Amino acid sequence: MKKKNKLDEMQEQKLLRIEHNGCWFAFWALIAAMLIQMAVFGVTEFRTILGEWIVFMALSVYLGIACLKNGIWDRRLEPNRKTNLAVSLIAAAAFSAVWSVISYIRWGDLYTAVLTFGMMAVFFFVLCFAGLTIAAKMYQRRFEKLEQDSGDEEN
Amino acid sequence: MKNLKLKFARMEKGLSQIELAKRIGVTRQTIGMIEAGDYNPTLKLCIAICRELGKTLDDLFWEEDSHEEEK
Repeated sequence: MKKKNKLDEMQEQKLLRIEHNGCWFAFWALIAAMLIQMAVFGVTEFRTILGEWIVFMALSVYLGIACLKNGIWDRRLEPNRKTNLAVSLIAAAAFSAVWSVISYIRWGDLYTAVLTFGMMAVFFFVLCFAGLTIAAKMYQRRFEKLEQDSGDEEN
Repeated sequence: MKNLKLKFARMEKGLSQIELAKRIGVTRQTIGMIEAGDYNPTLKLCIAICRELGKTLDDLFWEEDSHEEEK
């Protein structure tokens, strides 16, 4: 049986905001925790981040699927090639930079760190761009379907 | 509960759901769901709809002899 909601509208909005902030804090904190552990224990010791990785992936998959199912992309960004390209480039550069710093901390070799940056940048860019392109196509299809099916019959 | 007042006001103005949605900057889904009674719009959106259709809040959103039940 559904229990009566004890919150009024304003409290409900505030609780949603708190849960929203908590969700994104967990998302970024998990990334930070995994990166710190990789810097300390090395990138090859995947077992050390297994728990965080599972939770992070579950959270990411849930957010992605829930948004696509409801025909929601982003508050500000458009799902087009130009935006996807820019987002992929920024994500690949940021992630590769962190990865190469971890590599440098672990091995102390600048050449290896630069090589790591280049390889990881290409790998993450391709992965990110392909993922965003597929997701954008799925979003557009879903959005169009929801727009056609929505609510009452037209006129 | 379906919002037939909104639907009739929109039809009076000769607007489709998608045209009204575009004018007030929302998706058609939102207008469809308000008319179907599946979504309670914010006061801000109610006012935008009223302004666009030339109606008052009472005209479109006041329900006689009814009070909001707990969701």
